[in-house]
Amino acid sequence: MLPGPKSRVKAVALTAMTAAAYTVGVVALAPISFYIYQVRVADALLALSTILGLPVIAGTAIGCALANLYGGYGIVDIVGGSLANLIATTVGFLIAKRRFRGSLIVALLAETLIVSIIVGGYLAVLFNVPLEVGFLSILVGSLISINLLGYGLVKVLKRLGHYG
Amino acid sequence: MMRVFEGLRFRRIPSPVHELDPRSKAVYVAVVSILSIVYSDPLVLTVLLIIQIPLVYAAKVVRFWLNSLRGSTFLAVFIFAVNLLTSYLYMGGFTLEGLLTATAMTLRFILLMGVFSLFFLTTTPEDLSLALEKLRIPYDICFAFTAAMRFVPDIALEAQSIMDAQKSRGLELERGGFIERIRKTLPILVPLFIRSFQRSLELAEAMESRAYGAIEKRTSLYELKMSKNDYVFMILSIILLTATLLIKPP
Repeated sequence: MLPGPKSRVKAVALTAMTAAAYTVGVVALAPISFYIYQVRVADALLALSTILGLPVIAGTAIGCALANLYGGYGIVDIVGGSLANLIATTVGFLIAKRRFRGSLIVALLAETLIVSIIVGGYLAVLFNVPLEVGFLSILVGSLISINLLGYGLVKVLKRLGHYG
Repeated sequence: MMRVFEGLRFRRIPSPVHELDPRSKAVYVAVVSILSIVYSDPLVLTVLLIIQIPLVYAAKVVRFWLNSLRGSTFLAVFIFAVNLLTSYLYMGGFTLEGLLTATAMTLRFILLMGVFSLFFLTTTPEDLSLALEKLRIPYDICFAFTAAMRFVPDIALEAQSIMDAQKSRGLELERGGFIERIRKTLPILVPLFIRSFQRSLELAEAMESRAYGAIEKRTSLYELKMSKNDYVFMILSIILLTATLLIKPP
């Protein structure tokens, strides 16, 4: 288990760096598209809330808002996306904290579902996109980025242990 | 890739819009957002979009503004296509009404995008952080926000080096199928995050050496102050809201 930062200053610093890394990931690693599915690679960082907790929760929310500054998806991200990230990573963290068998997979699935429901939800409410369509297209993208890439990221980092 | 960040790095341009207080600009953003959500009439939305243009000109950020709108093409097309398709499926054919709804929804999206990007293009990170503090958001969060903004170009450079390094080891990012290409991003994500984690420890040390958080009540060197222009701008925004609602009730 990776140690989440214990001191307040370290937590604040890690929050800032996670936010910056997320922003760079969103902008620099261009999303990989496949028909209407778009995989946002940086969302793999959401999975890290399961091992690092609060700094990743706040960091990915701030990073999502920041990505907008660099010409991301505007309002869709800055309010909805940040909120989705915030809630998803919090729930993921709370589930992973209980450490039962397969808790990591359950936590990541929960994150994916929450992101899809929130983003799909406001796409439906704001822009008249049918709930199923928005939900499904986000779900496929998030499943790949959070569950496939994110799972890999968590596994690799855990194996590396105390890095830094 | 670095060009993206270079082009979008904040530039302090002397313009009347840049000089406005973030709080008064936020009122304007709120007004336009409310209006764009309340109305689904393409005409009203077009008029609201046209109102943005002189402001963008006054702020001297036309090129950047258009750039950020270009970034949202994917979602705009998605929203338009899905709307058109559902109206086709539910109404059994292409109708004028369906086309109008699809246009309105796309316009709403572009409008929301535009007004938010105008706000961020004309507000310095420092001002934003000060405004967040005024809204009583904990200083830790405000600091993380400004620090993240400051480190984005550095980490982007880092990401570029990592990509080059992995490519020189034979990682072909642009080749392979859908899943293949996604798996290939892992050798970039892992070192990128590890480096960010290491940097956070260095940053923490620097912060501690400057006694971060030692004093409960912080004071700022610069304070945000509302000027006469700010009040005028806010009043104009509220007039825009009430006038639109009165002239054409939704």
